[in-house]
Amino acid sequence: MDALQALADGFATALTPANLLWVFVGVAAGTVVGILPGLGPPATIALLLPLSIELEPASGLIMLAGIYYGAKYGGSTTAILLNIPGESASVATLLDGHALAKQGRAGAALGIAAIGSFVAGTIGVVGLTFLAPVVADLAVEFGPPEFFALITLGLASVMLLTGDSLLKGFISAALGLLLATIGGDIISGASRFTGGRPELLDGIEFIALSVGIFALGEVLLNVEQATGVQIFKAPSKLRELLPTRQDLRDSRFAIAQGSVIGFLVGALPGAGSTVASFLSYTVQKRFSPNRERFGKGAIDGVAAPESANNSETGGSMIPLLSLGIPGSATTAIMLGALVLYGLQPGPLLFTESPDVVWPIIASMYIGNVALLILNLPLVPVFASVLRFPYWFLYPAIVVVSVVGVYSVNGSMFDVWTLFVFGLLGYAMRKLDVPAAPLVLAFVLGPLFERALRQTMVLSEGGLGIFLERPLSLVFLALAAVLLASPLFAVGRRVRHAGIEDET
Amino acid sequence: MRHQDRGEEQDMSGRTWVAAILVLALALAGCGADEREDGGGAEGGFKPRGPVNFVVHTGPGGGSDEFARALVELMKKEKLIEGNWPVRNVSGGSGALALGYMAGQQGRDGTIAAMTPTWLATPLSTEEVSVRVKDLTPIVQLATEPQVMAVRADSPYRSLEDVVDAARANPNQLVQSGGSPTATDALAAEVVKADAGVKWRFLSFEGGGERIAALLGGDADMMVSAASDFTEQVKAGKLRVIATLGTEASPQFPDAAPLAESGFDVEVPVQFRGIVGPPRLSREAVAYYEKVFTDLTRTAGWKRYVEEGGLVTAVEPSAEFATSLAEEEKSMRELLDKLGLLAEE
Repeated sequence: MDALQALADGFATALTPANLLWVFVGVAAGTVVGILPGLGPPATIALLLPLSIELEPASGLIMLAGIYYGAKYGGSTTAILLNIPGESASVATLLDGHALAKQGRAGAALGIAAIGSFVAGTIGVVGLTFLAPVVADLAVEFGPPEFFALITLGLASVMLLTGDSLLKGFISAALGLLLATIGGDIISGASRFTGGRPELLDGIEFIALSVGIFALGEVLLNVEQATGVQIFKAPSKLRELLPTRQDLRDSRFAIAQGSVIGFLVGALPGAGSTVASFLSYTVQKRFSPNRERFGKGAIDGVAAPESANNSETGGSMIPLLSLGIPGSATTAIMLGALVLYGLQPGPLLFTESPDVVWPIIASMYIGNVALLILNLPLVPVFASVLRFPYWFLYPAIVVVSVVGVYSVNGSMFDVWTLFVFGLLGYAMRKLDVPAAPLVLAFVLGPLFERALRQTMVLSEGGLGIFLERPLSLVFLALAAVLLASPLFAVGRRVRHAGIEDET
Repeated sequence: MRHQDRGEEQDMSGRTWVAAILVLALALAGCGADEREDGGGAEGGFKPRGPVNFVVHTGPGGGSDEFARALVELMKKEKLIEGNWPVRNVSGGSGALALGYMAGQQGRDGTIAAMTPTWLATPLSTEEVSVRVKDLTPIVQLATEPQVMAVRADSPYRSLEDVVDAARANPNQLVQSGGSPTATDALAAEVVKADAGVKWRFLSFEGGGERIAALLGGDADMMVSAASDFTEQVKAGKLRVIATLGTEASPQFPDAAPLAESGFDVEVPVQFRGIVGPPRLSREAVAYYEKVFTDLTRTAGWKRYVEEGGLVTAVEPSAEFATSLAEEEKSMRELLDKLGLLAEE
C-alpha cells in the first residue's frame, strides 16, 4: 500500500527527537488554549507563526497542527468543571459533562472525554491517511442543497434537546433562530437588526452568548440559592476520579459514531466542529439506551460530542492537504503557514511535498498519544478544582468568563453581551426553559438560511432540487422521520412534564 | 482569624495547590497573550517606540492577515525593522470594525493598518459605518492583485467572450461563485455584465474554500479571484484561467487576456493593497512608514513574495495614494449606486 509506505517515511521524520519535542510543545500549548475560553486555535497559531517560521517546514507545521487538535482536548475541561465552554465546540459537551461534575463524577466525565478524544482523534487521522482522496472528492460534491438538508436534519434534532416540555424547547429554539438573524446578510450585503451598532454586523459573538447563558447563568442561580453548602459533591477516593468499566461500556457506541460523524462533517468546507459535536450528541440521545438521563448527566452524552469534535480535525485536514482548500479559520491560517514556507498548497501537495505532508500526518498519531498521556494524569488535578469553596469558585468563573470573552475580539461590547446573556441564562433556568435548543438553533440558523438561499440561487427558486440530489433526499427523509417521531411520544412527554428541574 | 483560616487550609490538599497554581498560570498566560495592544503610542519622533500595532480587517488566515504577517516577516528578515510588529485582527463587518478602531487611534503613531478596496466599499454600502477612508491617513500603496476568471478544466469556455456569448444565449443560467456582493471580484463581474448587457447569477459563500469547492464540484460555472487562488488548481489540471478582469495581464497567467483584448472597453475596480495610518498621523511618522515599506518593495524577498503570491508591485507614495483613493472612492460610489448597493445616507 502506497499510503502505508508514505506514512512509514512520515514517522521516520516525525520521530526525530527535535520533531517529537515540537509535537509536545504544540499539544501542550493547544491544551492550555483549549482550557481558556476566548483565545482560540486560529489566534494561537497566528501568535506562534513567527516562531514556527524559524523552524523546518515539517517541524513548524507539526507544532501548529498540535495546537489545533490539542485545543480540542482542552476545551472539554472548563466545560465539564465550570460550565464555561472553552471553545465553541465544547457547548455540546457541557450539557451532560457539567451535570456529571455536580454529581461528583467530574473525573469520570473528564476521563471519558480524554479517552473518547484519543480514540476518535486517532480514527480521524486513520481516515486522513487512507481515505483522503475519496473523501476530498465527496466533499467537493457536497453543494448547498446537500448542506441545507444536513442542517435541516440538525435543526430537526432540536426536538431531542427539548427536555420535558416540548413547548418550552421550541420557545428556546425560536429565540435562538431570532437572535441568529442579527447581523450582516452575505447574499444581499444588507445588515439586519443591528440597531446601528457596527459591532453587530457579524452577528452576536457566539462565545459571549454561550458563556453568558451557561456559565454566568449558572453562577447567578447558584449565588441566589447558595446557603454556604458545597454545590458540588466532592469525590473523595482516587478511584472515583476515573471512568468505571460500566462508563466505558456505555460510551462504546458514542465514541464510534462520534468518530464517523466528526470525520465526515470535518471534511465539508464550512461546517465545523460545533456542528459535528451537536449532531453527534443528538444522534447519541436518539439511540442511547439511557436516553432519559440525557441533560442530567449521561456519560455517553459527553463521549459522543467530544469524539466528534476530535475526529473532526482529521476530516478538516483533508480539503486543506489534498485540495488546498481551507474549510475553517484554523485551516485557513495553516494554509497561510504553508505559503510562508514557500510550499504550494493545492491538489499536488501530496505528490510534490510528501516530505512535509506525511510527517504532519504521522505526528498527529503521536500527538494524540501524547495528549492522552498528558491529560489522563491531569484529570484528578483538574477535578479537584471543584473542591474550592464557592466563594472562591464563583468569582473565579466570572473573571475567567469576562477575560475569555474579551480576548476573542478585544471588545468591551462582547463583555456587555456576555452579561446580557448571563441574565437571560438565569431567567431561563428560573423558568425551566432548556438552553441547549437556543444555542443549537443559534449555531445552525445562519447556516440553514444561507444554504437555503444559495440553493435557491442554483435552482432559480425551485424546490425540486432537494429531491433530485440523492444525498439531500436522504437527509431530508431522516429529518422528516425525526420530526414525526415526537408526535407519537407527546402523550408520554406531557406526563413527564414539570417533574424534574433540569438546569 | 487564624483559626478560621486553618479549617480552609486543611481542606486544601497538595493536589489542590497544584491545581491552584495551574489555574493561576493559565490565567496569566491568557492575559499575557492579550497584552499586545497599543505597542507603540510614542508621540512624535522618527522611529516608533516599541512594537508597531499592525491592524488588519480579517481574522487569522484571511487575505489581509496573511499579507500583513508576510510583510512583517520580510521586513524582519531584511533588518528594516527591529523586533516584531504584532498583527492585530480587528475583524468584523467587512472592515467596519477595523475602520472604527483606526478612527479611535487618532494621532497615535504606533498604529498602522493594511487596507484593501473593501475599506472603501463597506462604509458606502453599510449604514452602520460612519468612518471613511478619507478620515484616515494614507501612507503608501504597495501592490495590486489582478483578478482573473477561472472555469473548470472540462468547461467549454476558453475566453471571456465565450462566457458572455453563453450568457447571451441563455440569460441568467451561468453561476459565478464568490463572497460578498460588494467585494472586488463581484463588482468587476458586474461591470462586465452591464457593459455586455448580459446576466448571470452570483453565488455567495462565507469562506474562500467553499467558493472554490463550488466551482470544482460543478455547482458554479466560473469564479473571479486573485491569480494565486487558482495557480495550484490549474497546475493540477482541475481549473483553467480564461481571462484577466483588469487592464494588464496577470504575470502568472500571461495568456489570460485582459479586458481590452477581450473587447471590453470598461474600467473595473482594482484590487489593491496599501498601508494607512490613523487620523492626524504626524508627518514624521508618515515619512518613516512610507520609507520602510518602500524600501521593502526593493528587496529580493519582496520580489519573490510578489511573484509567488500573484501580486504586482505598484508603489504610490502618500500624496499620490491619497489622490487615487479619492478617485477610487468616487468610482466605487457610482458603481454601488448603479447596482443599488449604496446605503442611504
